[in-house]
Amino acid sequence: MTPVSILGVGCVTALGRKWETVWERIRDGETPEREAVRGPGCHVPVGVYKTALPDVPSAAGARLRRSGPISYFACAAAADAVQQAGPLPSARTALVFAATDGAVTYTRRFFEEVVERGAGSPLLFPETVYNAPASHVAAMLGLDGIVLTLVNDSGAGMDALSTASELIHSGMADRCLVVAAEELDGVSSEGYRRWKLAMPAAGFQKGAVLTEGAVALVLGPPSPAHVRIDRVHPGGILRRHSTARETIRRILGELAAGETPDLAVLSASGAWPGVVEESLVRECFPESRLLSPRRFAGEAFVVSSLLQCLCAWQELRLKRAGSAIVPVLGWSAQFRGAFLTGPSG
Amino acid sequence: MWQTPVMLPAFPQTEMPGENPYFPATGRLFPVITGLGCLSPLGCDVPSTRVALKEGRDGISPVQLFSVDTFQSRTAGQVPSEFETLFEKTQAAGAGCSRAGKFVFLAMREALASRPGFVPEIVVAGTTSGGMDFGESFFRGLNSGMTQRAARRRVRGYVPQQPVLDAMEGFGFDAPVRIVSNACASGTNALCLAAGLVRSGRAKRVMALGFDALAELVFAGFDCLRASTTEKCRPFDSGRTGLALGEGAACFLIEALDDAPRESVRASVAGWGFANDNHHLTQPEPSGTGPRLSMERALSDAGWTAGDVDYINAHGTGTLYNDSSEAAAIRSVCPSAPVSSTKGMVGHALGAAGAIEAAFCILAMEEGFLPPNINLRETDSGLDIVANTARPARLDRALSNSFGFGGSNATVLLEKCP
Repeated sequence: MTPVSILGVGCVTALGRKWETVWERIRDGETPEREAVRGPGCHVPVGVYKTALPDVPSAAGARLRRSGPISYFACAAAADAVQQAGPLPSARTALVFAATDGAVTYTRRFFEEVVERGAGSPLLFPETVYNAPASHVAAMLGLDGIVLTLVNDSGAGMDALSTASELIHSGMADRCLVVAAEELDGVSSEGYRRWKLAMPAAGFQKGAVLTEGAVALVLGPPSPAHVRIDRVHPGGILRRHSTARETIRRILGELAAGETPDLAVLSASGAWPGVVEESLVRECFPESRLLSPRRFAGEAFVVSSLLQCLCAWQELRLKRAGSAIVPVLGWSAQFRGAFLTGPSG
Repeated sequence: MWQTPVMLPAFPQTEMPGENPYFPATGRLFPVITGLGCLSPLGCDVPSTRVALKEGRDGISPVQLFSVDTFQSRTAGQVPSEFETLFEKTQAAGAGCSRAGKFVFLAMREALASRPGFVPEIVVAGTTSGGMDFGESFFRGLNSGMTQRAARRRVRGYVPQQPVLDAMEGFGFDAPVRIVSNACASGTNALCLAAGLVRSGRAKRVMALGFDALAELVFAGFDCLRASTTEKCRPFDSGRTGLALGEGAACFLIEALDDAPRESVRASVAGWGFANDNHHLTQPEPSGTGPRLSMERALSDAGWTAGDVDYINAHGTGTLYNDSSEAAAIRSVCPSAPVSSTKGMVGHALGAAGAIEAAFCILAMEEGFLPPNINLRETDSGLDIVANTARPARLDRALSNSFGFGGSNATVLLEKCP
């Protein structure tokens, strides 16, 4: 992959919207207040970190009045990132949106109200498609060039970074706005609880605390003044326990390309896949400092994978680290990662 | 138009004059399609699809998968039920795949069989609803005491990447998977992004897929928006009343011309263009700005002029707004090219549509005919519509459009190999 620079960032999380505040809370190990959500027919509530609906620019207001939280999160984070990066050329800026679950609240409502009960608003349906949030972000910013939505487990965040690099490198875009967003719902949370990945609301058991929000990055060609994403590994699939460790070890080695990162920002969130990742990162890079933001900010899949990049970006831009590795182990047993370096000036 | 040398000047898009200022020109490679698999309401493989496409067979039938008693629309394009038998004879039988997963497996199997030795470095797939039938089943199971194991299987199978991961396991390869979900442009987006990886030299062998299976939630969605027709789907007809949903999958194996066995080459992916119109979440901008930009960018990307296009496979859903907006765009960009929408035969397969229609273009190029736009009585489109029966023609260069919710517009250009 050809390197790209991070020119602006934005985030909307359960820990707050202002990045400096979010970072301080992650660094200090603060967690949001855990709430309980329960889907229809679900007897065991799931513990989650809810995120307050953010204010969005007036340009997004009319389009969003019938939208679910995911589009509000995406628009707010995108607006903040663009504000930091400066004006974008509309036809020459690509938008790559990434999600794992997408618009789960409207999907559940549409299924309950229209499919099962035969009465509900038809306007719910268009908001259930994965690319609805991207459409709202593009309309808010007046982007009429390439607008793509990528879906996968947490690794879709890494796919979005790769795609952004490809679009910039191939000359199809000068800038790329990468946005990841997720929202919570009782039904999807129950799905993850039954998969034994999400933690119930009562007590502290193995499993992640699910959360919601968005992260946005404005990317451009590499520049010495900015933090760079040097490499994104397209990933590997962990089919069997017997070969999974070897696959992860190989990908970590290819990502680092002989360098020893000062910092490793892990994807571990309390669910079982993270245990494997942490032990192998420790084994491969014993001198690297480790950080696990999902343990404090919660598990929001693609949002969390880009939040890992934001944590790396923070330490690199302040020169508290010269390089950072960001491994991402998704819940569909796919492993990807990114390697970032600090400004050279 | 076709050239054997593989290096082209870098980045010849008109909207970006001059060389990309940030990166050295690395040249581009010719991405060619060397393997093809296709399932659609016209058939469960490429040979049967080719025959039905040329015949102009109507693949729309009463929906069998779920009850449609509460809906206004009652028909859809469904993949013939023999796909179940075909799947049961494969190594993946009994794997508990979703309907979409079976489509993916069979399309992948046919493509890989047509190009022995091809192992993809990456898979780029387009879909809108993944394993939606598993999602519906999970939701209904919440109220009916579903076992832990059943719940886990449904949640795991619902996510869009799982049909692809399952199919790859059946064939014994593990490539990274990238899923594009850009509504009904997804299949075309996936094909173009996959070709882009080859063209830029980032990957040598890429598999592109488009897939979607009929699902009750999606059927209800289009029905309640009154986008689905209660009679026949008649793209570009003056009296058109809406779309019929469809389903299926198409799989392409893509590699650089230089690396491809000459006898396997089916067509090249000559160029593409994407555009977004910010008009409305479901309705296209009436003058066709997004489709026009998408087609113009594709022509520019390939270095073609409007006169180079021998045939346009239109998005042509049969809805009032789509067809009028697309017709306006085609009149403005390629006014004299023959046009047909094949959705009258197969319905709208959403995330699979662009991939299936690109496959149709390749089959038509190979056989020398223009696929028909069936169910047409009279048209006010102002276009040269290939009405009702296939038209024999020398077809070297085809343009295929796909548009979707959210203002997504994608165009791919395919070229016959000499």
